[in-house]
Amino acid sequence: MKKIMFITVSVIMILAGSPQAYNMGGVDIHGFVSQGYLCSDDNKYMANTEGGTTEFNEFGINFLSRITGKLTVGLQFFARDLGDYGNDDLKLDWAMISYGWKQWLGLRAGNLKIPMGFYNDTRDLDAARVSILLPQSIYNETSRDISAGLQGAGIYGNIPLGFMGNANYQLLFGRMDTEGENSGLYAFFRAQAQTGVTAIDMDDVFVSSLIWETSLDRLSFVDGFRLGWSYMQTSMEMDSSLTVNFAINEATGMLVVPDGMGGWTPFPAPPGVQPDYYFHVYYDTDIDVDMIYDVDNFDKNVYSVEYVYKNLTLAYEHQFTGIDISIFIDTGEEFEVFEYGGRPMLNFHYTNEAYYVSAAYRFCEWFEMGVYCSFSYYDKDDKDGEGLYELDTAETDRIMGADAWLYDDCVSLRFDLNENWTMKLEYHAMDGLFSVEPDDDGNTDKNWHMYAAKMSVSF
Amino acid sequence: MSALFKRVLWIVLTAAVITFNSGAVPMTFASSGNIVVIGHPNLPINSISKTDLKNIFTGRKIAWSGDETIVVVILKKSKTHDRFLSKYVNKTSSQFRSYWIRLVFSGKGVAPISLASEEDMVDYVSNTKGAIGYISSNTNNTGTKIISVE
Repeated sequence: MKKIMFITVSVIMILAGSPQAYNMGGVDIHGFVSQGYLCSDDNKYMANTEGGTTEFNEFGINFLSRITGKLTVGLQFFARDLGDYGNDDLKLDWAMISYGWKQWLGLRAGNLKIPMGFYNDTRDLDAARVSILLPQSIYNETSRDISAGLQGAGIYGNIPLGFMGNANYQLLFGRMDTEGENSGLYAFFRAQAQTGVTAIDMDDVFVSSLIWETSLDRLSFVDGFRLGWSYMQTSMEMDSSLTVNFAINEATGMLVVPDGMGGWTPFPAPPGVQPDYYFHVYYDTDIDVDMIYDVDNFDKNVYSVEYVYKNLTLAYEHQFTGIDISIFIDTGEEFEVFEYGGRPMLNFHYTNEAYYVSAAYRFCEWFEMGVYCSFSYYDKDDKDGEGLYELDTAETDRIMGADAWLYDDCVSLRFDLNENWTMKLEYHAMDGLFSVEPDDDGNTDKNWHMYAAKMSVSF
Repeated sequence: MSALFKRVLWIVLTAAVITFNSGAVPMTFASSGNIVVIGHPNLPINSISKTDLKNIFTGRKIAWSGDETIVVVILKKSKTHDRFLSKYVNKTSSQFRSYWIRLVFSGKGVAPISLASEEDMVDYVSNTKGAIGYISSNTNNTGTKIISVE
């Protein structure tokens, strides 16, 4: 039904006339609609892509008005469908009031877009880039709600630096809307924790962005160069549940679980303790376990470089996402003995690392081509996935260790039919399984390919 | 040769090839001049720096001295539009459009007024307080103020 509504609204909007911006009583109205197709030869990536899916669309409409020379108000509604994400639920994407007191100091408040990296705040807008999918290493669509926006306030400004160019800054503070169980945030932690997530309670979020741009006047030979750094920090509590088949090692009294190879292994395996396969199990049952993941710190740093020379655009961005987690266990009154007396059962820290390099060139008014190479690592200190290999079990067909990375070589073709209509074609050569789901038969292939097509209208 | 190096090399070579082909389909224009910046007769300035002009047409500077709104006026697809962007904003028309799309859809800027002809530009700028635009030097600019670019 939502799909039908989405298509109907889109068709009406497009057929209403030549798409162009509208102004009603001093309010500018802009919008965009896109419909895409994703197909992979193996695995599922973000949606049920094996065999192809059309569950890949976006719709947005915004209203923007300048009340005075310095005061601007606006809001944008947005809906998307990407496999299980979004499902075309219309939501308030951003709504803000902005007062630019001086060029170097302004104030924004409301539901604000987060400036992580150069392209995050326009990630939903297909017309603003050459590729269909932004490099997923940095702009992961399945975790959009972690980084799309926050409800709060902030300051911003553009500081002239004379012959050095100018600096743009933003400082934001607020809270995020986690969008419920179908959100990307839940999916992100389901993938990270590999358990069902039942609730997430996020704390305040702090975001900062600093971008230096070269000047036209004095350094014309490097005009078009941008250097940026953006940072986000928050913390959260995540509740999850799972059913564990466990037993007690008679000799040590240690809680143990099946190791997938016919033996038992400590749960969790404390540092320095090797699994003991030779013991008598005196209790063996399934219990429901509530796990509490206390994410003490979740911080993200993105370093960005962009250079535009005539019709050539080069970009490089590098991201580190640090996560500190303490895990608490609640097995209920009957099995209280297995809890850790209020102490965390496990503390660990790891850092996702991601980066990409890209080049795009516009050959003529209607044709542009782009390439990028994107790299994602689950843990920057375990890029080969050796740690995951040890944790993995023989019960799945997943390729041991390949969960640790994803390499994505992408080629994109963009055809601008006119200023408002855009058609794109894209090919991805993939290596790795980080953030990748098995196909319907539970199989995965480490080396796989994906194809995409998309048609967009913006006005 | 590492996989990373091969990938970076592939990107750089691709970029180099397409850059050397850049002369095949010219998308930018030489900064040959013949562009006149015009404003409403009551604008509080007679001259403007290149930096300020760029800041205005990229939405960074949004108010004149005091609180008067700067009304940015541009031409739709035309050689005058391309020449102006190349000379003062250092963007092609497609880059300029993408730039403003980003501002508009992130709520960070109100899009410029876009007009079809230079005659429309002169008419609109002469009748709109705070307006600034551009025309070619052989277009009649009656009713507007010529703003010199320093």
